[in-house]
Amino acid sequence: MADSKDDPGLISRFREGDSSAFDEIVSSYQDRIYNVCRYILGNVQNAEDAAQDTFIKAFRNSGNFEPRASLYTWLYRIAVNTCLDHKKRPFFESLFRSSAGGEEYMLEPVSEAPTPERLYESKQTGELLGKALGRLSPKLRAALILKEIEGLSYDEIAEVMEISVGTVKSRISRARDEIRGHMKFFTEQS
Amino acid sequence: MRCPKADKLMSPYIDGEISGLERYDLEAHTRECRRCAEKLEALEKMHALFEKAGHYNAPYGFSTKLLARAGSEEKAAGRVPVYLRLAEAALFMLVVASGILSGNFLVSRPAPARSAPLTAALSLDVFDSAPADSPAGVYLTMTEERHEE
Repeated sequence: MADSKDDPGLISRFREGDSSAFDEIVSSYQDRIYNVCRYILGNVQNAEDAAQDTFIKAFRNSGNFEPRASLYTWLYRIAVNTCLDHKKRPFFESLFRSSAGGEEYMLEPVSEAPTPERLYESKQTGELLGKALGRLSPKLRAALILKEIEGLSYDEIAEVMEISVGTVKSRISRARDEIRGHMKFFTEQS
Repeated sequence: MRCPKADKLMSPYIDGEISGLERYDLEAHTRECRRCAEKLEALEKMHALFEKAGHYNAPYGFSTKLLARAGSEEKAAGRVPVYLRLAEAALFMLVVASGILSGNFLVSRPAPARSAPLTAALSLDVFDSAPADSPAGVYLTMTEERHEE
């Protein structure tokens, strides 16, 4: 997942501590960093704190950024480590967005308008999936989210988490197996 | 392909991180093995769920708060050298004071301690007076009388 925003001029200015370069980087990456923090930590306030801390750490360590590395994998690495340092147990919300009226809806093409039954089922499934995600250990959850939500490759995840590709495969596989087990358990309970 | 190997390949298969040959072998195995086929189907459904999951945008005011925080961090970083200089000055004075105190210690204390036994040894007060009826006492009395004469 090459990033078109890795402009060498921007990187150079950022490494020199140029605050306008930092502004541009925040503007380009705040949504992605916040999104990954939100999924790893599971609630709004913790995610916002972690995302803010990520950018502050990046700002403080801008001189240490290696130009040949990718900026976004470097930022993701700081974000994941910041989230893994959070000790609080996450409270998981549904994986599906709420509309202004507070109704949950799936991200589907307009032509496939969901019926009320499908909406209810998708909300239930989303909640179960969110709940199962919350049961994973932070490292398994981070690996799975970087793959499923952020769409990083195994090599990129290995770089972000500073682990081998084999460990990435193993963590993602274990995460999926555990989620299957949890969802089955929750379904049987209900 | 056997089930344990197929099991290991399922996640990379779903993620598109598998070679062409492994893909062929896995698909052939799942045509033969119902258990593995069911598991693969379940994992594919889970993957489809994630694809429908929302992406969250940073909350309103996120960058404003962040840039304000970064700005105050920059100002704080500028103040640090002054505190460092004060700390350096305090440390310097502490070292000098320690040197003075330990220097006084080195100059004054040992001399009295070393010379006390020597001066004491030279003092006639060390000696008790000789008993009067002893030969020494008699000798001293005779000597004193002679001097007085």
